[in-house]
Amino acid sequence: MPPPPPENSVFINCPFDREYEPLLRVLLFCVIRCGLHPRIARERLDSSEPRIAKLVDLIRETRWGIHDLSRIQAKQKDEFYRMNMPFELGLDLGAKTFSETYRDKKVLIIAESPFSHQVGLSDLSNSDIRFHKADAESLALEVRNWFRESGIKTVPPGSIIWTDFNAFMNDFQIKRDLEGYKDADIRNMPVPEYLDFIHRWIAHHDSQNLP
Amino acid sequence: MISKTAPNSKLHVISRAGQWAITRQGASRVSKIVPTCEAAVKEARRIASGRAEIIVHRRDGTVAERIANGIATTH
Repeated sequence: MPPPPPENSVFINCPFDREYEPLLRVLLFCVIRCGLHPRIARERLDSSEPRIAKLVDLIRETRWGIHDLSRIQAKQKDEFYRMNMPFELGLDLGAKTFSETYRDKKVLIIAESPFSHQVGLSDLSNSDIRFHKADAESLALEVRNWFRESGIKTVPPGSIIWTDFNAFMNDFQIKRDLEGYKDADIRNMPVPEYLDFIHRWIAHHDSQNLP
Repeated sequence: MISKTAPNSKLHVISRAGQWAITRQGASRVSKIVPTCEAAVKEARRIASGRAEIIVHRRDGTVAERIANGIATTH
């Protein structure tokens, strides 16, 4: 299946760990509820494909980029800074800066809190960065507002997206239980499978709300 | 995909801008906003009067508890 058109596609650059999962769930839902397609490194697994090639494809095939720089800081002694997210942000900004083809890219940089990222990434100190405070509702609102400020007039109000996400989570859990999913299945659920749940829920939701 | 219960027979207790809201599924407006989750559940029980299912969500949107016929099931 061909990828969705770049003008409707959003490159998601974020941490992939258990602590971030609640935020990733709402982030993916919010993007789809706003009528766009999230593109994320975990959307496909091909062990023969170098990771950098996959990232370049994602950047090439998207006109929107959301870069969450929360959790880049080492939390424990002897733990390293996590540099994948800043690296991928750099690739995306590089494409926008140095290529006429990608000049119209829209980029949202978001972090957990002010200053949390600035010690390790002071080059961004004068950039307009949004903050979600590790709160799912705040993340959904910030992302939704960015889409609206960037010219998408059809995005639903933030309160509707948040209410819908909660209703979706309820139906998602019921559906998973009915289909025999266990907690371990959920934790290890591939991103495309979760995205499929969201698409089906929103299609059903939209069909019930036709005028 | 959606559970068999009629949409308007579900009340959701969800976090909303630092407070807690009671929303009826399918309705565009919030029924009520209160300061705490406990107060929201109490108010939802009053609105439901045993006839609607109440779904209590955590701050991340996941389901913490379902209350049907006055009986709570924790998740």
